[in-house]
Amino acid sequence: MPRETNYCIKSIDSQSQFFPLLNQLKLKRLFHFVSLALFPGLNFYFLFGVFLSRGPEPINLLIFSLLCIGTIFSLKSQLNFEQNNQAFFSDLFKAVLFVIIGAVLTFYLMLFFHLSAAISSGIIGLGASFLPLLKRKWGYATQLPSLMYCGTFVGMTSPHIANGLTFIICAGFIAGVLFVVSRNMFIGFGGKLGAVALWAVIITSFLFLFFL
Amino acid sequence: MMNSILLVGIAIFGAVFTSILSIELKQGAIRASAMGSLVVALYFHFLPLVSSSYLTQNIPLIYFGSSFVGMVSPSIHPNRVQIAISAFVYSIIYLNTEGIFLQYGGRLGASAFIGISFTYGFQLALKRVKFFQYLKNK
Repeated sequence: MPRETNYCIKSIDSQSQFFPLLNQLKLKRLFHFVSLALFPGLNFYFLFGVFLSRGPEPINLLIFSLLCIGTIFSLKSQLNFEQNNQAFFSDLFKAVLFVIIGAVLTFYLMLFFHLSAAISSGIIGLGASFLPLLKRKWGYATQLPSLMYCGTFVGMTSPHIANGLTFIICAGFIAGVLFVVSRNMFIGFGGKLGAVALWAVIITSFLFLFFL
Repeated sequence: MMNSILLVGIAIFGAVFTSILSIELKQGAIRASAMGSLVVALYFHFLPLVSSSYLTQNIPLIYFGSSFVGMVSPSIHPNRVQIAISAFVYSIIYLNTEGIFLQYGGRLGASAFIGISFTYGFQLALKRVKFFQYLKNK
């Protein structure tokens, strides 16, 4: 048996021990539907905020409707549920960790070196893009650039919104979870990492608003 | 108005340039996006435009967001015209986001994602229209 398949089966076994009530197929279906709701939901919320929050002017209403219709059409390609042996929970810890690292580094570059958000994110993103050179020693290194780049978008949140490191770590954690949940959806769409980060920051700001 | 046209132009250029860096120069999507954005942001950080602080502030941001449009896979947008249309839609959203989600991380990425979803969605829909199928077969 190839080593990769063996690894997947092992990880699925270990996951079913932790989550005996949810078998893998049901879990993947759940993630699929969560992602299907997540991205269009964000699109509608964002577009509503941008175009309709200042009042329903005809031109804004037209642009809003067109963009919403385009988003609905684009969902068609994402409706097929694909079964695969990708393990979720073994990767979750690593994903969350590297998203948080990217977010914290970007936030600190902005805060302590007084760099702009674009420069901070660019520095961390450029550094992270060279990490796949380590793939001979660590196979997972090929995944690190996208995880850390997603983290940099979380870290770009202004200190006026993110009032401390706790906010950034919490948002990084949510972004890491959303990244893993949605990784089989909208593959190849630019801006997906940013959309994940925006969801994470919005959820975290609501959490902090109501619970802290 | 001139500023808006300039920003739309920069968005389209940024997306197409990132796509060239990523695919044709084989730098990968993330390096292409981060490298281009870093160069533009550093340039305007050290050499700000004296005549317009609006452009100095917005050019690095709109380029940064448009580089996410350029990160799109060739399986979604196989040609540059589609990338340019997505970048145009992205720039329309960017120009309307004054004061909304302003300090939230991921705002630019979400705008780019909407631009790509719009173009891809209509591309899928137009493939179904018989008139366009007829034109393609011709």
